[in-house]
Amino acid sequence: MSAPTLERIADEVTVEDGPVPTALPADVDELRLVLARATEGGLRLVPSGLGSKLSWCRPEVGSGNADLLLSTRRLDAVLDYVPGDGTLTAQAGTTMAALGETVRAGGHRLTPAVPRPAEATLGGTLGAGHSGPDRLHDGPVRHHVLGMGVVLADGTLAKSGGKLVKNVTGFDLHRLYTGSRGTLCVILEASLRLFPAPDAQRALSVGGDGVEPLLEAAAELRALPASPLALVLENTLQEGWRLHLFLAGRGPQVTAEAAAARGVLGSARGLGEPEELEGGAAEERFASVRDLERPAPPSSGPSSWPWPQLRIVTRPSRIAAALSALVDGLDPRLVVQPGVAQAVAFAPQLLGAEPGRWTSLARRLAGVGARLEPLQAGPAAHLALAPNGRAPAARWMGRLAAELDPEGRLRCPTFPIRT
Amino acid sequence: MDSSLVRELRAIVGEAGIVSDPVARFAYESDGLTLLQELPELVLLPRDTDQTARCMRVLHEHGVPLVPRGAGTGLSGGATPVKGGVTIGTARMHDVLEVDAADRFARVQAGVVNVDLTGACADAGLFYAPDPSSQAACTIGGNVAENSGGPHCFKYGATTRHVLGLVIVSAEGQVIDLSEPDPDPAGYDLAGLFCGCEGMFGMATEVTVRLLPTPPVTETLLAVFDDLDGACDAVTDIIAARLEPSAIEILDKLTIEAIESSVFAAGYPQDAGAVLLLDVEGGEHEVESTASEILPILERSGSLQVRRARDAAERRRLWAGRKGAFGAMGRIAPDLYVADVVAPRTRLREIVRLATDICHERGLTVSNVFHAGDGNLHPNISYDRRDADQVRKVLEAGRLIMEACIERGGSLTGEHGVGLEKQEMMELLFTPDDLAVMALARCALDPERRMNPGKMIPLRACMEIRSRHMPLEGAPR
Repeated sequence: MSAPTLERIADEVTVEDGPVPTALPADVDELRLVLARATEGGLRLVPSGLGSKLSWCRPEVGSGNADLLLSTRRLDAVLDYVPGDGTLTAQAGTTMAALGETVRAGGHRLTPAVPRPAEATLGGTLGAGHSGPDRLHDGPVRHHVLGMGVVLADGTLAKSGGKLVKNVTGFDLHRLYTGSRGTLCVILEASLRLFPAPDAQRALSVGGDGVEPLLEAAAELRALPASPLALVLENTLQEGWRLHLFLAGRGPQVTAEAAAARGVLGSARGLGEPEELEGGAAEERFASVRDLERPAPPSSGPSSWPWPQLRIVTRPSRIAAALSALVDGLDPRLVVQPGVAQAVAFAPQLLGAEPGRWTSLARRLAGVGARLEPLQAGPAAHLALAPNGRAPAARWMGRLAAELDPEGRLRCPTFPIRT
Repeated sequence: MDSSLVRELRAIVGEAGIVSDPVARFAYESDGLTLLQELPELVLLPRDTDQTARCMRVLHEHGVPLVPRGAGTGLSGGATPVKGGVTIGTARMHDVLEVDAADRFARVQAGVVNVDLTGACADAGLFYAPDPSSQAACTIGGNVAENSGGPHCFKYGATTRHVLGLVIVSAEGQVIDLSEPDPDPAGYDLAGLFCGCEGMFGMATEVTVRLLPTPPVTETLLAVFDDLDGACDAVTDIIAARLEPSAIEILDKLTIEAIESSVFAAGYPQDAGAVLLLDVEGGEHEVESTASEILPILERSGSLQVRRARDAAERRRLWAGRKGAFGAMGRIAPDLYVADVVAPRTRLREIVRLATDICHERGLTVSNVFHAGDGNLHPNISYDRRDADQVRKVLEAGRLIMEACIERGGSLTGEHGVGLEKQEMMELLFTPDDLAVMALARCALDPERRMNPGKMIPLRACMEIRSRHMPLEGAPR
């Protein structure tokens, strides 16, 4: 049924071959044409950018349950950067790296600081609702989307919000679209609020005898009268656990906060000697820690790559218990953001795990008040962990999807509910 | 209203939770937009989520439209009753349910007054950031419905950035529990969508909010200007210099005079053409260095004098004047129309002037007190609603100000919402398809459109889009 439609689309729009072909419209008209053809031919579409988050946002692509990827990566224009207003509007296919460079020239900083920004598009970042470690300071990405232009599966072009930093005109549909993983619409463009580029940056890193003393130190750092950019605990960069504190802002304040942080780390038990970096070196360290959620294959350990990956979401006070519940039976590499109560785990022990093992892990985490989100987990695990749609909140989600995409062209079988 | 229905509802909320007497119902005939009035058939004041859900299930079974209401301080007619409908107020849902200092959140019933929330967590060294001018009266539930702002939202953001979770009762009376303060939503961001929905998706009965550590240092500056132009230019330059005070407010001469003649007198210089009130918050060095960069900008923009609040008492007094400004306007005329538009921050001076000219050309008295840092203007027109010609001119001026703002890249509302007041203006900012998609979201969550019907979205947009997928159901009964 779909082959003639795919051929027809390939006649009209650039299509890249692959296990699932990718349509690469050059502009909005071409993109709408693909949507129209998909509707005529009954194709199941998956919106994408550069595809860096597809495996966890849309696991059905890997199991043959998608007919066509619809990439916005050729829609890559910066439409409006207003330094005097601290706002940026760009097309969905622009990479986060390009956007970061654009605003840096005007004295601004882009949030979120996503891993490997050259491989992530604005549309993909927003569709995935992907925040970076800077969310400790800035909040999650959904807080900084001022407005969006989208196209629904039926070709309807629609916008919500605008370009202004304050605006409550109409429903905040861009909040709904952010994190909706392409199940409601295709994001065409978005406006973001920017932050001032910092005058000074500082990174403090310290190792410890296991995770507990570092978690305690993280809690003490969080209690300081300071406003760090990021606080990350990890055991992936090298052997053993390390805690990284990043400070960014006005020079004298950063100096004062670094001194206070040194005081905390110096008096804490079970920690090594803190390493302190400034300026460009601190920025480089931040980039390497930022990228930990998309690491290169490890030099040792199981050879199959990528490893299964999951995310834990909880409250700050429960993070230690959640980590204990997680590592019981696993030996994961972890990137933990204790200040915002989440952790990303890479667990080679879950390679080839049956869905039941994932659900058992989810139950164990739920027992300590934490939620497991599958990332690189495979379609079966995603399906096993997807909500069933019976809860009232899930019903609302189902109704929103049904209203905005009545034919289910963009539907994902595992998100936001199992379908 | 059918007496058996009233009996059924009375059995749920008890005598204290129902207002059926016609005289008592007058208190609910409008919100802060007093130009628009409608007497509700009945007012319900449930005590908690359970009572709310039971009431809403009954109203659903009888097909009765309903209007959620907080303290009624809204200024766009969002809580104006609907003909033949029931108003459900949160006045008796006023408990702070939980303050978790370790995880920095609070869970409150929707009727908790904004300022009481900060009061409840102050001992823990925490505060709730959104601070609408009406914060001594307005409720957290109302703030969620309108996505309210306030002076300090310049730094901290409006309500939506501080809502971690909600308990919502749907139009059908289903309880949707999103109260867990997760850093990210599981599935779609329903709480984010709900913020600012103006009561059209359901009714929030509990809110989980993010709390922030009280800043170690706060510096309050009062810069005095000859006129509004200089004050506006200073704000544009502060933003362009990427400086981040926590609040940047402008008050013009007429506002200053009204405040200084009232119980809110704050010691503003009465010979000033305008003042700029700024808070700079954060660590000691951050505050000092930010303030030291702001001062020359103020000077370059023509500031005649900059006063630094000497102590907490003076800071409180300066802010009490600002927060009391709307109340003080009662000294100018019996009624006040508070416009609420957003200008690009690069065009503040131009749009403020334009709004003033529009009013003066119609012989109207206008004063300005606004969140300049966010570009959120409030040209306030003082008038007497008993004078029909004045009312006509006020509404005309309000419309022209909105049109002028939109033409220059601005927006219809920064914090008061669309409600009834700006409903017809939505088509200036949004295409029919934009509105139709908003209507789709509304129809998904409230298919019968009984929640606060007839607000925000021009009705024809909803009708058009409904006809695409299913037959149009009847208008709310």
